[in-house]
Formats: sequence, C-alpha cells, structure tokens
Amino acid sequence: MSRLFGQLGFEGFALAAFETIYMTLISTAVAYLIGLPLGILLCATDKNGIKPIPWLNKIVGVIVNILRSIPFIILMVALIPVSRAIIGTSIGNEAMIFMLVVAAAPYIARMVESSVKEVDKGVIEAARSMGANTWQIIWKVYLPEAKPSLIVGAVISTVTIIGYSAMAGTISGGGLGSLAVTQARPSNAQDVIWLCVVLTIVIVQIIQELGMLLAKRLDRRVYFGKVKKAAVVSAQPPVEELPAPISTKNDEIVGQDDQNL
Amino acid sequence: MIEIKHLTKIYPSKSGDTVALNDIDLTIPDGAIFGVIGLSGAGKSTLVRCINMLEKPTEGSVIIDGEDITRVKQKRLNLLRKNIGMIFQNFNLLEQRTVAQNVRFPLDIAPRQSKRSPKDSPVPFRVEKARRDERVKELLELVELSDKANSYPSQLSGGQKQRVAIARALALRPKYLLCDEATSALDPTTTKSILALLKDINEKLGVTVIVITHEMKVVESICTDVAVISNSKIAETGKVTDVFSTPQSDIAKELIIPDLIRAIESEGGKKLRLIFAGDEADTPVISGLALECGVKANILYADTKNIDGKSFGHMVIAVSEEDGQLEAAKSYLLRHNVRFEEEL
Repeated sequence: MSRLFGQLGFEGFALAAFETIYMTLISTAVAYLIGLPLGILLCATDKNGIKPIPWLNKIVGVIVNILRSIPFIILMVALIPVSRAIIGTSIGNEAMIFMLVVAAAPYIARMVESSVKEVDKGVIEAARSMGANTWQIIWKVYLPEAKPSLIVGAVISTVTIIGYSAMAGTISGGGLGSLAVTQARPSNAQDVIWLCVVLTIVIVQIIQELGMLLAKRLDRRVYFGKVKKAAVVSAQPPVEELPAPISTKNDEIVGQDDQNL
Repeated sequence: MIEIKHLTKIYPSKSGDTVALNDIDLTIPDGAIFGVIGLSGAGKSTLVRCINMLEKPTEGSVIIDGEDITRVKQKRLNLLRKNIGMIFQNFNLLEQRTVAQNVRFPLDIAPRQSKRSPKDSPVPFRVEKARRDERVKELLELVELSDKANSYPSQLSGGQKQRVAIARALALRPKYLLCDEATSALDPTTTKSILALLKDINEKLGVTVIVITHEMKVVESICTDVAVISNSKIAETGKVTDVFSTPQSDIAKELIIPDLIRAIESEGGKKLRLIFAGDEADTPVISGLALECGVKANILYADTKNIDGKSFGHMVIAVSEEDGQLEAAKSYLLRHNVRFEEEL
C-alpha cells in the first residue's frame, strides 16, 4: 500500500467520489437547462418540424456542431480565459462546472433532438388536427411522449459528463480524476489510481442502472405482449386477452350483398 | 357545410411536380356521411388533409360554414380545427397517456375563456378539471370503453384504439368528423362495429362525417353521399344510391361493379344489364322472361347491395338474338318497368 493511499484514507476517497458525483450532477442539471430547450428548438424549427424556421435552425445547428466537434480537453484549455472573464476564476469546482456545461449542453441538445424526433409523426399530426398550438405540442406531446427516450438520453449524457469531469479535474477542480492524475500519478501510487478507476466504474454503473430502471418504469408502452408493472394502474387487471369489440346490433348493415335475385 | 372550390395541391420535387389534387370542386352537406373513395394514390388522403389544413393547398379554397379556412391566421385555424375532429388509420393515440387522458387531451387544450377569447368560438371553452373528467366519462360510455379508462393504448386492440380515437375526436362536440382510412387497419368484424359507431354518431349527434376509404364496403354500408376520386380529380359524385345504381365513370364502374364489367366483357350472345333500384328487386324477372315470353336468358352476373335499407342491384343476362328473343325480352322488361341497358 502506497503512502498516499494511507494518507487519503476512507475520507479522502469518499470526498473525491462525492466531488465527482456533485460536479457531474450539477453540470448535467445546468447543461439540461440549456440543452433541453435547444434540442426542442432544433426539432421544432426543422423544415419538417411543427414550426419550421430554417434560418434559426441553421444557426443553432452550426453552433452546436462547432462546440461538439472540439475535443473536450482542447475546449477546456481554450475556456480558461473565458471562465476567468465570466465567473472570475479558472480553477475550482465552479470553473469546472462552467466548462462541463459549455461542453455538455450542445451534446445534450443533440440527444434531446433525437429523442423528440422519435415521437410518432402521426401523433403530432393528430395533435395538430385537434388545434394544438406549438407550445401545447411541446408540453403535451413532445416531452411526455419522448419521456422514456429522454431519460435514456440523460443517462448517456451523465455518463459522458463523468468522463469529462475526470479530465476537467486535472486542471482545476477536485474529484476522482484530479486525485488520480494530479496526486497519485506523480507519486506513482498505483493502488490509488486503480481505486479511482473502480470507484468511477461503480458510480457509472449506479447511474446507468437507476436511470434505465426509471426509464422503463415510466414507459407506458408494452412490448411483446407483456404488460409492465408500471402500466398496471387500472382497477381491473389489464393482463387479459384483447378481444375485438363486437357490436352485434349493427351486423345487418353490411354483408347482404350476396343475395341472389 | 363544407365547400371545396378549385382545390389544387401540387408537391414540387426535383424530378418534376406531382399533382395530388387537380381542381377539385365538392360540396359536403351538413348531416351527411360523405364518402370519398378511390384507389391508393388517387389523392383522397391529400383531399381530407386539406379540409383541416394539415396540408396547405396550392390553389383553391375550403369554405367551412362560410369561412375560407385556407385564408385564416394560424390562431383562428387552431380554433376552427377544434370543430373538425379527425381519426386516422393508425389511431395516433398518445402512448404515454391513459385512455381517459387521451380523450381528455382536446378538453385540456380547449380555448380559455377570457376577455380576449373570440366571441364566435365554434367549440366550448375550457372547463375545470372535474367537469372535463365528467365529459370523458360520457365519451367513454358512448364508445363503450368505460372499463378501459385507466388502460394504456398499448394494452388495447386495434378496434378499441379506434374507439378511443373517436371519443377523443368528439370531445369538443365538433360539427365535422374526418375519417382517414379509419377502418383500413382493422379486421372485417371490427370494421363493422366501428362503422356502426360512426353511423350512430352521425344520427344521434348530427355530426357530419367525411370518410376517406378505398373499401367499397365502407361507402356501401354507411355513406349517404359519395365522391369517386381518380387521378387527382373527382370522377363522379352524388347520392350513394344514384352512383351505385348507375355509375357513369369508368373508375366508378370498376370500383363498384368490377365483376359486372368482366361479365359484360365476356363472350357470347347479346347482353342486357338490368338495373334494380328499390322495390323492383322483388319482380321475378328471369322466371317471367322464361314463362311469359319463352326467352332463355343466361345469367352472367347478379348482385344486390343494401343501401339505406333499399335493395340496389345489377344483373347481366345474355339473350340469344335468334327468333326475336332479344326483342321479346326488351318489351317484357319495358312492360314491367325494369330499367335496363344494352351492353355491347
């Protein structure tokens, strides 16, 4: 066991893990505040969307693509002066959250866009036929209907941000990434590095499993004839055969064309 | 009343424009069950989508109760759309909402009553949630699905989904109901029950129903009026009883009496097409011809359809031209007031 491992103790690792989780969750939340509306905007203003505004779609699309195409490690370095100008510092957790948000928001916008695009065109057409306006379609069709897919997207985004946070940790904030790179590597404390790896895996696994469980529990669709527990909210057990409703009283309306003269 | 005037819809594309609708004129009277029938690709779906402006027409107008909806602002259009329910081939229910919540959707987005709300709203204003739920209960009773209120669409059969869609379309008590191939995804038995429900809604609630279909049976069983659409144009329109007993256009004949066309085109003898419209269907024509005139008629085709409680039918008989049999047959038919046409 390395000296550093002993110095850190349980509390040292717990603090680093907590910092990683804390920064990831805060960054994800803030990035969603920006990325979710942008994603909806990208989908709605598309030429086949509910409110086509080609120029706006183009501008936002280009900005998102530019930010997404810069590797995070480079974006981070480039953002150091920006961070200093906007939030007054380029080190510490706040600066790190700022950088994570800038990197994650465009990513989230694309995730949200693809989730919302999955919503059945027919359902949107039905809502339009009912006279729903753009806002009503966004609030009552886009978001609720895309919910399971949005949650899956959020899980993927969060896991990506954990990866980013490890990188960001190397230049400014704390967390497991910072611990492994700035403290453990110089003193060659392999055991600390590996424990950081294991802790990161555990955090990713927990978020992944919880998120997927939530997405499944909230999805009201049924696949392969199985009815999920979440869907069972009716007073009567819904697991039953689904006979076609046969109304016998009107059978005489059709089927009389075979009479002979 | 819906008046469609000079309606044209062109889809431009690089490889040349596609004309989906070409100068359509059509009047849909209030209270009718108006069928629009045609083969796939004829333009009937585009036509129905132009009625509530899901598709913007290239030219022409759609005048609903005196208001040209091709020229109104989006806000007004959204309001007018609430007076035109619509159901679809694929039902298009909100998958994450229960049956009751689906039916409540139009009530949830109904126009709010305020100082700024339009005075001539064709639909009721938004009411408090408890009253919305009452209305939902009423609607589910109408479509006989009260026991499925808390189920989700994926737990329902096709017929049940379409019933939910119908209840949803009727939530705001619209004057019109558009049905775009509403029964095309359903089996024959379910189709019958859905059609019966639509007829019921037309009769009890006075909703004008516009039915788009490629199935003759649908028009035959519930429609009062029909327009036959072919190659982006209206080939023929009129009362179902008229169009079905004496189809004029080739496409109408092909759709309504395809076997008859084949019978007429077959070889052998002179052919007479007898047309039954109403009570004459009871006249024992064939035995009459044989017993009274000694005419030996060969039946090539016979069919009756029940439309609006009356029997309509066609019969094609082949009669030999020898010994004046053809003349005898014709005079017999004239005497008994049986309409007929000589076919080549």
